[in-house]
Amino acid sequence: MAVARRRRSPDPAGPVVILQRDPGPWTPLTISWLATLALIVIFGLVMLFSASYTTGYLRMGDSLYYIKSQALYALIGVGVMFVFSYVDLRFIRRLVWVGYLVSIGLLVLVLFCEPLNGCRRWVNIRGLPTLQASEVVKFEMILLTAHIASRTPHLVRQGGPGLKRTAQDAGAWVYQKLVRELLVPLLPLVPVVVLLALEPHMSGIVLMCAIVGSILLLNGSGGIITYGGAVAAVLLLETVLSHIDSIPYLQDRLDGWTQDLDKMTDQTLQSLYAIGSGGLTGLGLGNSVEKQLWLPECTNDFIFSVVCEELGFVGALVVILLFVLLLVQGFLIAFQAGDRFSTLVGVGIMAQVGWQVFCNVAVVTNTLPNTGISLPFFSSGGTSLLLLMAEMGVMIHIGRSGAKAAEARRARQLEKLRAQEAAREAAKARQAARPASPPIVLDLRRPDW
Amino acid sequence: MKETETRRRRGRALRRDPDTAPIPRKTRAVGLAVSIGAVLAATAIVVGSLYNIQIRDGEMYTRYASDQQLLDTSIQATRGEIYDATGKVLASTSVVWDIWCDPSYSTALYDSQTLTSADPATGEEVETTVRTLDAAACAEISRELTLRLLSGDGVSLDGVDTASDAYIRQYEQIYEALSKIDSSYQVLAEKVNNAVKESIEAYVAERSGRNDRVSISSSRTYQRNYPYGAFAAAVLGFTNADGEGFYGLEKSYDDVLSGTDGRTVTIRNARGNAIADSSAVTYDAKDGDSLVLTLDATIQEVVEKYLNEAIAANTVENRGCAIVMDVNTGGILAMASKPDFDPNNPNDYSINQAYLEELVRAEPELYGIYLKNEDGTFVTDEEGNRILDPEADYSGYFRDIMWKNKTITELYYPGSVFKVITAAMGLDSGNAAYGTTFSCAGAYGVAKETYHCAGRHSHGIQNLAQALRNSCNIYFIQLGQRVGVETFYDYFKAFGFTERTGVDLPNETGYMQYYTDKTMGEVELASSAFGQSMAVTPLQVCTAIAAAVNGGYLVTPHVVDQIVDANGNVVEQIGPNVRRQVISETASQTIREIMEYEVGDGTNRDGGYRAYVAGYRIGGKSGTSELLNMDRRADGDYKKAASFVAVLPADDPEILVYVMLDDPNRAGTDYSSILAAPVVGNIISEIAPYLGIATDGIDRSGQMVRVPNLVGAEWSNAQVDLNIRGLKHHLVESPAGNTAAAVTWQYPVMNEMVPSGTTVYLYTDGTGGQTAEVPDLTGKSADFARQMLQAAGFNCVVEGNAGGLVQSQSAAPGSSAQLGTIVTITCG
Repeated sequence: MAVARRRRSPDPAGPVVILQRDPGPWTPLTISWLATLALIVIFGLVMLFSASYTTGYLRMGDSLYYIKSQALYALIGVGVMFVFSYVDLRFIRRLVWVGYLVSIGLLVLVLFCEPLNGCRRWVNIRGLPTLQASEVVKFEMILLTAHIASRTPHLVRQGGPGLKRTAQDAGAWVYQKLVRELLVPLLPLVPVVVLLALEPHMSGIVLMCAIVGSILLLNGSGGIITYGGAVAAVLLLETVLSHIDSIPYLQDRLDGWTQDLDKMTDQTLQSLYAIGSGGLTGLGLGNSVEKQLWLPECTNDFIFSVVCEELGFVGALVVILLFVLLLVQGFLIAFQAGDRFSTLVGVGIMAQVGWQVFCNVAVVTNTLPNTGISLPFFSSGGTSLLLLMAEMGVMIHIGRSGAKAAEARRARQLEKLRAQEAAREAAKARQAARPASPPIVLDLRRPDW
Repeated sequence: MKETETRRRRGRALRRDPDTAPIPRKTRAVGLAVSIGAVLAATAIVVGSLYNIQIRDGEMYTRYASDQQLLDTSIQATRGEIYDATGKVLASTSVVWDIWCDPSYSTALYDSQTLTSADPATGEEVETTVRTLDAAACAEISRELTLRLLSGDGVSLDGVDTASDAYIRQYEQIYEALSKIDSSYQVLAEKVNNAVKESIEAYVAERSGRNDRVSISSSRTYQRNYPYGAFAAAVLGFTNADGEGFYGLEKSYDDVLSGTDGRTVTIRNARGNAIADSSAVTYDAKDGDSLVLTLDATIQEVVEKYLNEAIAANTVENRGCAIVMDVNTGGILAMASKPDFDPNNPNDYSINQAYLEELVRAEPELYGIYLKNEDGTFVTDEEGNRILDPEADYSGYFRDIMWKNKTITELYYPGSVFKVITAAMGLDSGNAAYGTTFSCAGAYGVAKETYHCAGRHSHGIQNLAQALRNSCNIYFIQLGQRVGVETFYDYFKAFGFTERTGVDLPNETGYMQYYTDKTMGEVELASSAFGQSMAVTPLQVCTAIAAAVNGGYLVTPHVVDQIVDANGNVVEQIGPNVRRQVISETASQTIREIMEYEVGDGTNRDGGYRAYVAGYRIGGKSGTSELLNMDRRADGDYKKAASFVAVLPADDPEILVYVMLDDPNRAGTDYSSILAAPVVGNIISEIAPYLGIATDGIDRSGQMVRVPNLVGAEWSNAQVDLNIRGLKHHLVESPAGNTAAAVTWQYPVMNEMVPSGTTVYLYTDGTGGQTAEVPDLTGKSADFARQMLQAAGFNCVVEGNAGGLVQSQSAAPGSSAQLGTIVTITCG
């Protein structure tokens, strides 16, 4: 079916450049979002140092082993964020397919690299820092899904509202919702999922699907079908989990997912000990006992347990609240973006952060079965932190360019209103001879959207 | 335009929004609602989980976490020491170290290789680490450790004989422990002294590299030392492997000695190591208090020397015991059961094995282990007698017997010693006085029984003192009859024979055998009167005799005088505990008189004269009891127990010396006046001057005494001869260490007239004696010269003005003279 072609209207954001000199004005929302982010990053570094110095000393012979590398990546990350906040998102959009090829290439490459901990997740080339491929792929999948979803043509009702729907109409609707809006954007995900399953990287697959799904859901793709599916997924989650026992790789982890402390995997048990020991106010910063080699992966996937142990329920709530603030402000920023692609990229980035935080906290509290999902900005891991900071740069860009577009729109609207006003003035002048009519009040403060 | 037509008919058209357009308002509203709603919902879920874990179940998880995280280390309190009355250390505790290794963490001991293999179940690749023992390194480390362990001081490694059995055994043990490279705990050596431990630590530090670890650690522990070895062993007792008191004072005062262990509660990491932080809680250990005994090591040594000698010389088969006690306070100055054991190594009976085997064999009724059939019944011979198992393991009995404190755990018939008590009953109840006479015709019938005196003597008419010296059974039967059953039993109880003495030692038996006023008939009364129908402990006899002579007061015997803390402050002073007055002072006075008459003044040759030591007033009583409850001996007679008790000074007794030889087998005699009295006499001859016991006040300085012939006599009997004559004795130590040997040489020789108090040197090896160099005494004071001569081994006679300085000496300075030579010094 052919698509109605329209003449491309001139882009109000101006011509596409790589780096924009001025992406747009800083709004209070963007600033407060950035402040929240800064708090989280600093909090994350402090907690990582607290959680890692014992492990670093006992395992690596250097208390500062983890924090040194993490702080370095954080510093570089701030630079990366700064740069990305000036990169024109339309330029990045032009590279999505190239990026997709690179991502697939990386995922193939890791399969030929030396495995770490029994999994091939890292591009491990001698002399270079290790690179976790899935982190790069996550970013790419956000961009690609946003790109496809924002390009999906819509069925628009034409003609009068009284027109009757025919059977053909319904077929076209289903085709549109299922194939155009859902199947097509999901297609590029298939090779990624297959490659991730080969690593194997279950949590990567789960996250990737959750992020892509979130973008499509919030884009309204598939409409009622997607919403229904999402509700069904939430309701059926536990049933599904208990029925995938047949996959050996997952079996162990699911067997350990139980409320019975005796059968629980040691990692989860130690995590519960850590969280439980924290109580209301915690043992105090730096006083975790579980980090003394009791809690495995306390610098990484289980760092939140150390936060709970040291800072207690109160500290854990503060961390969660900071993330909630970051997410809510982030979604507001995304939905105020100047174009649908930017909105979807922003939604994707926030979905990634949100899903990771939720899954991580749910795993350490034994609410979800144990999968290796790191806590953004807290867990040690260079690639993850760098990519996250890049994404945060993109968020800043979306915020600022969104404000710019809004300004432009407001200016256009104002111009239009002024023209109307002028026309009214003219009419008024024409009517001057005639009896007076009530004046028109123009409210310039009216929100544009 | 036809296409447009079609679309219009369907009522819908496909449209692609311009990329510059923002998301539609409706989508935006729904998206925001959904996303923020989802964030809040997810927040609710995780906060709920956190609430459940941290607030609702927080205490439970904290408790579980603490269980694994807390390291509760006990700080062992140092066990208190045991001192004798003069401050000599009888038992002490030293810090020693157990050395252990964690081979699995000692990378120097092995090479590890990581192998990758496919898991047959899942096909996944699995990494396995394979360790192979580095035999050369293991041997090297084992060798170095063995050298240090055997060096004793950790320094003189060259002095260790690497070919010796001890070395090879130790080396193999360590090599085996180290080669268990998958084990994380292997004990290498126990109770190592500090020098060796530090040497090993230094070696380990030097040997360990970053990837070449040797993980060897030490843990502090304590070892109980008894510096005198097999000495007062039954009194001191010993501790078990855990350092808890197991026998003797170690057991009865375990609470006092052991102190209170302290604790340190620290947090540990998953490797089990304590984390150094301020949260460690320490409860200091309270070290145990020490005991100061009334027991005097010097006296104990004398007692054990003569007891051992008597046991060997008289073939005493069921051990012997001796007690020296302060009659007024109950303080025990010496208490011995021989043969005994070395508390440093209480399980080792090898030294006394032959003796113990003989003892066990002699009493099959008590100790026999018989052959059994498979169904548990005994194997019997044609006559139905059980058959002793020739291969039975008697080591349990051996240990039990040698550990037992004979003075409080074993019963015996006191025999004639009890006549003192019967006399006391008669005197105090008014039924007898010093002059009360009864007739002895050599036989006396009571009911259907006929009683005789020992040797079937007929003693005629005797008063109380004569009857006691004659040890006349018939006199005391008649005295007992006069006292009567009820009064007899009342006094028997009052003298403490029906209850424990209350001595502060464990395992005192409380099951004495005696007749009560209800069960005692005529016959029982008769045999009770001369001590043949009650089985009591030696210590009960001692306390009763002490009560009879000290004015009538029954005191509680005790070994511990003071409990002092680690700083020497007296925590508790255990004073005399008078339980009751049993007899009157006047009755006691008469008892002292008749007991002194029994021993005599050195001129008599009957009664207990062998316990006499010239210069002291000594009261005593011998007792040869028949052990009616035991198997008979080979000659068909009852086994005997020969005991002798002496008190001195007889007019106002201070100490009591008691010796009991259980089942002596000496050809020709069973009489305790021959077997036990010399032991008591010899003990008194050494301890009375040591304790400064009041003498009889007779000045013997001018008296000349003829030296008897002692060659051929047993040295202890030879000494008794000298004791009675007022001569002193010195046994020159035999190189062969033969305790029961006869005297082979004496100096001064027989028939020489020497001043009273002269020391006669006795030899049990060789004829001719030893010589020493005479010191130069010129210009010394008389007293000092005497001391110099005595120290050199000579006797001294002072002539002239004893207050002046030595002018000349009978033996030239520097000349050689035989030990015991009388050197006359002229003072002016």
